[in-house]
Amino acid sequence: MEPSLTRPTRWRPSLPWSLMFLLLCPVTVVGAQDLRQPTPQTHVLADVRIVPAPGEVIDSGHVVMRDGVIQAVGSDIDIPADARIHRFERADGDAPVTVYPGLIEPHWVIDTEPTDGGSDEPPEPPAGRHPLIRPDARIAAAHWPEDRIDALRRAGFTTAVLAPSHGLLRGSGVVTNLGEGGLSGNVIDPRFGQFASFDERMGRRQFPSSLMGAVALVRQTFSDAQWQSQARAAWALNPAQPRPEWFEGLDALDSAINGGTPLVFDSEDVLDTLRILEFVQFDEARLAIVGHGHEYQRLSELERHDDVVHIVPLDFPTTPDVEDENDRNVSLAALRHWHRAPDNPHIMHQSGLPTMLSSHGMGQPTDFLKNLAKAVERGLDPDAALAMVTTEPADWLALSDRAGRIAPGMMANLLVVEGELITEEPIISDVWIDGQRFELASIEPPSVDPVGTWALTLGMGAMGDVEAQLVLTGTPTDLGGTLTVMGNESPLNDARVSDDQVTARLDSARFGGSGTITLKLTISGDSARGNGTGPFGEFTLRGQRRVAAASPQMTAAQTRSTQEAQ
Amino acid sequence: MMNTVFSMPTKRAAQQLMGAVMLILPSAAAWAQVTVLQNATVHPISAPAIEQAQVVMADGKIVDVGVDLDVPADATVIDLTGHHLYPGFVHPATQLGLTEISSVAGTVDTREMGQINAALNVEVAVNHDSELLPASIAGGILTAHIIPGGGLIQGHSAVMNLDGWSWEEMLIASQAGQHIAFPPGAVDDEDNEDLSRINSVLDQARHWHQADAAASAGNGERPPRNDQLQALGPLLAGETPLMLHANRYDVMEAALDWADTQGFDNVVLVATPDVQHIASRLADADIPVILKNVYALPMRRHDGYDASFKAPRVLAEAGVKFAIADATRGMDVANARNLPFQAGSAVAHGLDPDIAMKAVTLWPAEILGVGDQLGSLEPGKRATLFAANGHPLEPMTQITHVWIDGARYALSDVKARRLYDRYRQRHPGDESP
Amino acid sequence: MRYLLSSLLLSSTLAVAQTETWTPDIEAWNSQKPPQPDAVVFRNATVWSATDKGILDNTDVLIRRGEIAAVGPDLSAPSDALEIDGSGHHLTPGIVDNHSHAAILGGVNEASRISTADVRIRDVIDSESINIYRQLAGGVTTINLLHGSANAIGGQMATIKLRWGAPPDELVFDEARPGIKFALGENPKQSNWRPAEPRYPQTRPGVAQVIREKFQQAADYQADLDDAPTGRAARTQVPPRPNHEMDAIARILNGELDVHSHAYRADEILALMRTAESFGFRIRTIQHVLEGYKIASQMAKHGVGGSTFIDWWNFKAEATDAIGYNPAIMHQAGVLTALHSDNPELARRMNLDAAKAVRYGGVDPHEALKMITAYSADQIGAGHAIGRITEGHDADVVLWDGHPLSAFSKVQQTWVDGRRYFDRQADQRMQQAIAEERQALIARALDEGGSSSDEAQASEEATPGHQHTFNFARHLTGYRPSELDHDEYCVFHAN
Repeated sequence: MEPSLTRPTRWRPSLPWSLMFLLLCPVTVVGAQDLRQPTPQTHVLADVRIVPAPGEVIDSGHVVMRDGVIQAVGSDIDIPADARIHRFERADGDAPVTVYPGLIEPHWVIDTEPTDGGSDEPPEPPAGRHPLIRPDARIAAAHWPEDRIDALRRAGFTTAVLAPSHGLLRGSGVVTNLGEGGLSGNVIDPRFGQFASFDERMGRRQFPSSLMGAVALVRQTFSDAQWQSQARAAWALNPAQPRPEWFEGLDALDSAINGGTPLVFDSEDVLDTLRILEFVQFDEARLAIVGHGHEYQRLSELERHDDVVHIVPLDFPTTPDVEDENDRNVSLAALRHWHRAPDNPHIMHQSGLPTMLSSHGMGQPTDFLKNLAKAVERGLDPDAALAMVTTEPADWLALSDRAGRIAPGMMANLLVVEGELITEEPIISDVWIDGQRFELASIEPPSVDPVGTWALTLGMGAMGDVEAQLVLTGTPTDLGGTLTVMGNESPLNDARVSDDQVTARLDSARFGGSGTITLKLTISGDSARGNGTGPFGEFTLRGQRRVAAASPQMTAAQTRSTQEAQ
Repeated sequence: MMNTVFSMPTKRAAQQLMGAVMLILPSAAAWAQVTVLQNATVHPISAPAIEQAQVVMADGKIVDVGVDLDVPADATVIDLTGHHLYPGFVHPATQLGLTEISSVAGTVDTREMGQINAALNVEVAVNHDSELLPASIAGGILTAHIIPGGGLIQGHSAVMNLDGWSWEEMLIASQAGQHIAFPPGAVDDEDNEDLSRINSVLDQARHWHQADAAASAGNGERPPRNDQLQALGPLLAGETPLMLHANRYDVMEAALDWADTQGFDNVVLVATPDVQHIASRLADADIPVILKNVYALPMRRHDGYDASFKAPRVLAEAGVKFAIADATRGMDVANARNLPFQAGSAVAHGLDPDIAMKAVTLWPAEILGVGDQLGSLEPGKRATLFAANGHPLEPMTQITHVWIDGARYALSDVKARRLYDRYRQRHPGDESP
Repeated sequence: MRYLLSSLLLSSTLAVAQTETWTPDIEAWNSQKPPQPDAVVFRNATVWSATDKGILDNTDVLIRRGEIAAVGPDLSAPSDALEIDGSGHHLTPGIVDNHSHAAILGGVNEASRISTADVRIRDVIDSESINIYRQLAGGVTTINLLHGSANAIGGQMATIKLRWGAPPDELVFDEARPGIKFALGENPKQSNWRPAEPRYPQTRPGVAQVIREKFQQAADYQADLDDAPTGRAARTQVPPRPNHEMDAIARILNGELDVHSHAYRADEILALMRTAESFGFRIRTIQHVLEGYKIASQMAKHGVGGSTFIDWWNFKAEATDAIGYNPAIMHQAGVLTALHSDNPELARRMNLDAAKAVRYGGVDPHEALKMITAYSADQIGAGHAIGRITEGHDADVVLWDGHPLSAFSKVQQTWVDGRRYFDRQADQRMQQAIAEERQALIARALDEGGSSSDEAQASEEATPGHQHTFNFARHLTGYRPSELDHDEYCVFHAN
């Protein structure tokens, strides 16, 4: 007798393009907010294939979750009487539904550009300290980027390190789950790591204006921090001498110097990596380097430092633009890296260097699993691949007792996948975070083609109307474009069509804001209506298409095939 | 007038004698001062070298070249035993005279603003007393093609002597070319804005000249005066060559395609060493090349280290006629004197030495339309030549004597030489370290 | 784990390289270190020793494990020695270019402050710069990477050997003395642009004064350090705060860090020498030193070297009196004189600049060659190890197919540490291999419908948290940021 709570998975068309939409569609929390009061929190994923950890498989079993924690896993365990049972019915011949541990993103940079309460200018640094030196900065609840968190979840991540974005010494990040409820509802470690980079400048006339200047500034700062703790200690022992000057925030570097927390250096390229390895010479420091995908190029040099952790982006280059077979202009370096980049994870794994994989640098993590599958195709052991996104980061984050595997006592962070996870087009049907289910809702195929140039009026209520131009390019299933307001143009981060609705997201930075602008438009012929939200509040949208779709902007490939046809 | 050649060493003396066109005869007219350079190895360029030979000059022209020539008894004879005589180098593209100190804007006239500058003529701004000119002459650069440098249609260039009392006297050929910088963006964009602008101006110019011709024939009204459209007349009529500038092989190809569609058949390509990749097309179409800068870094990382050095050889092997230039602009203007070494370095990478010499003498003269006056030591040509103590494409060689239009040039007056003579006395030293 | 760029295309390089089949690559990381034979002997070459022995005809040079072991006629060599027929060829020391910016990443100037003595080129060596390979092909084996000339006291220099393929730390050449860049004249006083916020000083007297001030500050700083207690007493005593800028300047005063100063005009060169003398040390070299010929005797007396370029003049008001005869006069007056490139293109044909020292002022050709080898090495304190073909020196040598100062000659082989880093035949093999590899990769890209470059660019721009400013241009041109920076730098600063 099946309890009435059982819900079969929704039927879905099996056309490949529709699968893609399923991956892209937004996650919604099932239940909860309308009821206002707590709901029972015991769930069982019943009769599923389980991959509890890399290299382990339970062909059929249950996963029991209670109050956000995994209570039991296995093939011969009892289903608690108070549990809601989730079954995933499958047609004959379909791949089995498999439950995986949720993925851990070890490095996800969020915008923490400092602003002084609404002003565009960054706040004055404390006396004696450089504006790019902010080791005491922290991730605040206000930094929580809801839509980007959503993108991570859709890519299968349930836990992430959120890292600060600004400065040479950037301050600490957080380790957090990626559920609802913002930072306060999800944070695991509110103060993790010291994040650093050599890749920031003050511009031509202010120090530092060069890479070597940035290195010198960071070097001086570490010296100052070491001096400060030494000087303060000396003064504490012997107050009968002039009190040493105090540099606010430099003490935050102590734990990175003495290994209390990792020192996480963002590297631009392979030489930056070598520079960082040479620079960080503190005996106790736990160095991690956020890489670039070119690690294979200087591997033997990296191997000299086998205790350094590498966080390697799965950011593979797109196919280089090539005119014809005699094209002399396309660079060999670009061709080679395009060809070679998918080998990098396998090469890193073979080297034995501690390696984690990241969607860092990918903008949207949409292609993360697809690229992971490509790396596996190039020889990376699939179990190792899974470990690099589950157990390895869990170890690094000191969370191996709570995350990275499906086992009793672990956080209930799971993925429900139709078939295999590491494939070109994985189908993640559910993401569970802290025992909360995020179901991937379906969206409709496009019924309109919104490509073209739209003249829009943004109704800002009492603030009046603002004119804007929305340019949508590509095809309905692969949209891109820009929004221009008062001469400022910003690319769309994400744009898609469902039935007759267009949803577009973009960063508001180029309009002087902080956060995301979301536009929702219903298209009818050459008219559009809708609404939007952004850091300036909510607004209405209406407008007309001025330039039709199918402008002569052919891609190079199309041009070629046209020429060949002639 | 006996001492004219030596009493007015820095400026052309023969100019004063040339009131009318005169025939140059093997035995010069009695009133012409004849100078004989003898016992040198003479390198006519147009013919094999002649040892122990003479060059006879009168009235600014070469009268004869050979061995045991008849010379008037009162001729000035200069013994050049151990020296070699060559025609002056012809710099095929430079901005000498238009710039002095490149970081001081007030001394620089190399680059006009705006995109359409068809009516500019550079010679009117050539500073005949520029310090850069003597420095170039001391390096054997005796004639140069001075080019404009701003916008898409850049204006007219001129061939000039590098010595004279005014630009007017220095001028050898005005309107030597109309210069167009082909927009690189037009390679894969038919609607390129810059190219459309060029096309539009050319169409308007054709219309203007059609209307002007109609008016002359009494068939219409005279079109309104328009200097730029009028200035494009010689280009459209094929009288002035189109000097087409392009820096990448695919841009060059697009530029040549475009020139074809425009009906230009008097084209000189002003190109970087990347031109080597379209050598056979140039040979087939008989299009000459002004090759910019053998001393350019390879354009792409994956190009061979010797990509620029070997470009002249590749052109020569394909049968392209070319003139070797330097970078033509910027810091290379002050160092125009290094032009011959560019040709020398091409020899290191396989170019035949005789062709290398032609590429800095006779071929530039021919490409610039002054091949009947310059570029070789032949009777009837301008007596613009120099003597050197070795091969002139070698930097160790010293240039010892210079004549421009038959007038001896005083190398000891060149600023660098003056400073040298002054300060080496001041700092004689004890011995070398 | 290297040399594995393309399993399809480069598998042949996986084998251990033999001396005769070793092939380099245009990417440093993908270039195998050339083998170092136990013994190499060049036979019957014309050897330009750059020593008192002069030019030696029909001479052998024996190299053992990276060092020059013997120079002379009919040398006996081990039976397994690699024999190289030098007949008809000339062998010279590797060229030492002591003023270069050819392999610096992320800007050659820290242009912000009037003194940036705390910045180090050592931190930003671009081991992947294609300039390294191209300069090997011009016979250069050692380059001195200098900070730019935007400030009176610039950054600390790094001397590297052109061991193409090695990472930055293995390029560094420790036999050279450490040094720091200074600059006088139009650049530090910002004459040729209009900064929004002018920086002190804006005149030559101001530059001279600022240098004096910094020296005094550093002397005071050093005195504080010297006064600080050590050992047990230090635990209870607040130590002086470390200041890396002052550290570096104090090392100048102590004679540990050599000053190489960019300067053109005679007046300011003289003034800097006098300032140094008043602080009890000597300037090591004046760089460019365009008017060195006007004060050559004073320079010789101070003991400063003159490192100059022979051609560039009139690009600034302070360069109007530059003359090609400058090296001849300085050399004659007893100044240790060298020629440098300051330019990655010119660096490929330094031999022709030496030839011009013969042209302008008649310097003896062997002495002219020393200006790009022995004397250049002496100026950076490395003359005991490089710059000459003599016993015990590093085996950094160049084999030319003709007279080394002739435009008609080119480099056939360039050896560094007894390894053949450039070989004309290997290079031609490489060019062929690269052409084939490009063909194969392009065919594959066409198969996969190579994306439009506009899209590629847009996606890079849209990537947050990861800056790819230069990548696009780099991919198009194959140039790296340091080269782009340098070109820009040359255009604006012309030095």
